[in-house]
Amino acid sequence: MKPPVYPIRLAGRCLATVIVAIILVAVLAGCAADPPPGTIHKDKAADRQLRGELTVFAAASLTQAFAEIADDFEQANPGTAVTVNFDGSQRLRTQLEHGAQADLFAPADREHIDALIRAGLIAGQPADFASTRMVFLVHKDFAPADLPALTAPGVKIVLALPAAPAGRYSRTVIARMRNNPQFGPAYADNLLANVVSTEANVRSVAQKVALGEADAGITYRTDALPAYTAQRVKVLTIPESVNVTARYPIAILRESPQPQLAQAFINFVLSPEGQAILERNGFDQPPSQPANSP
Amino acid sequence: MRNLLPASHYGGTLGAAATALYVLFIGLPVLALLIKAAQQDSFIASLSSPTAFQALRLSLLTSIISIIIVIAVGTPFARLLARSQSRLLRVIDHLVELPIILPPVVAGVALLMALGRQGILGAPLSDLGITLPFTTAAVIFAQIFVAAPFYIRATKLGFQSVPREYEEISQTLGLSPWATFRRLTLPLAAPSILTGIALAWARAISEFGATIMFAGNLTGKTQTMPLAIMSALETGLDTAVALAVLLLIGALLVLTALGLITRRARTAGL
Repeated sequence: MKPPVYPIRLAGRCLATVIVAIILVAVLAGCAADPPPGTIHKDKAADRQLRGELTVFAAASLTQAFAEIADDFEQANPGTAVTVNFDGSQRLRTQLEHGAQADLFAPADREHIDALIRAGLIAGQPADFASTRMVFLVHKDFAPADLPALTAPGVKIVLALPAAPAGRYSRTVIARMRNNPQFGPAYADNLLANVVSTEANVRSVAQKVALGEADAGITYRTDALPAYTAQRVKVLTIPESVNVTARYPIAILRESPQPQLAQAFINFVLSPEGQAILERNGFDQPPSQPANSP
Repeated sequence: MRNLLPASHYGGTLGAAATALYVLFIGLPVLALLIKAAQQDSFIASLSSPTAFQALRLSLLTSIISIIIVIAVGTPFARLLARSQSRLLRVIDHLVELPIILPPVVAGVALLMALGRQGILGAPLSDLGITLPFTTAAVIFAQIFVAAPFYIRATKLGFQSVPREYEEISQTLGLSPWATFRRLTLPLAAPSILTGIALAWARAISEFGATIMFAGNLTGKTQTMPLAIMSALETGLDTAVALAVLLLIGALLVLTALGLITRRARTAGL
């Protein structure tokens, strides 16, 4: 039996229909809102004025340097806006593999960019733009502040996850220490036995040492430079014989709707101005400048 | 008989549309996870890795210890909150729910500031040779910090729902306060208490932010399921999805069991 239709119920049904209609319209509008790439800004790209929004996925260790580069790039090119997403390179890579939208990817090693090249997600060739070396950060109160002290029982050491570039480099350093008579297998074993945590990215390693919760950690030399960390840690140099060079590549993603703008950003990173910012943040020049500079 | 009325009787079209939308919204991601897990060949292999086993064991161990501590301390506390008129307790009552609002990472930082090696209480403890960060105990601390409010809140409401006159009559009839609590208040409040246990346990086993901040991430020692899932995610989706589905199924089993017990307690209670 059909229940009597009360005005309030009728109103409810109308409301429901309206809500469903609004949701449908919103969903459809959302689908249609993105214009096909390259149709709208074509005219503007033709004259040399650069415009638009760039999204850069960059390694956590680039945090200060790329924030500055993004600011200077925006100032040099009014009408552009650069958003940088900093995280562990491996996490950024996973996000990109699963459809995250970005124009540029600047991880802390070649491995993660090569994976994206194999997946067909990168346009063109990556360009190396900086490099750095690994160091031990120790908390300022840790004594004696030298490498042999790190293997004493009870010392708390943090590393980055093996999947993070810094984590991989750290383990390479420890493996080289194992094979080096200056350190030896016992040193490597005791060091690894002191590891109390594996962090998602290198900045978390630096943070745990700066907070004093961990005694030491392996990071990039550049991670010791931000003021907060610098006041709270001491840097122990790792001998060249067991150290590794971390080199930073940058590449344009195939999905980028504005490859010209993305290329302009790469050119800026490689320019004397961009390189000066990187140098100020403690980075070295890339080991051998590849021939694909602009 | 009341359950036999058609759903439309309660909410009309709006109710039905909202229900469909909500079920889709919650169901689709969960379904996607299950489909992704079913598609991969390495599902069993991912689960049988020692890392997965250690994470599961650690998650169960820590969340059960956390819940036992929460029940032991939280029950008398909730009982006091439910009945007391004191102004101080009224203030504390409001503060109890603070950890629910706090972002878990902030909870982790707060725990470090209090109990870390440089913390207010942690520094003197550290001088005595007791350090909490990066230990399994720290995992339990983090879980209790974020999960306890859920238990205390539900249990307090449960105790409040028991009419005071019942307790007074019971005591006039000669039962001691303890016997009254055990034989009258507790059974009547049981459904709420069980709901509180379920909520708090679910929050404890899914705890991530405070744990990684305060306890770190080390296989077998502080790497619980959510942290293992995060770590696995760094190298690809497969293992992470397998672990997530395992956690999902485990949580579903426990929550269903608790739901059944709650229903039985409810029908037995009144």
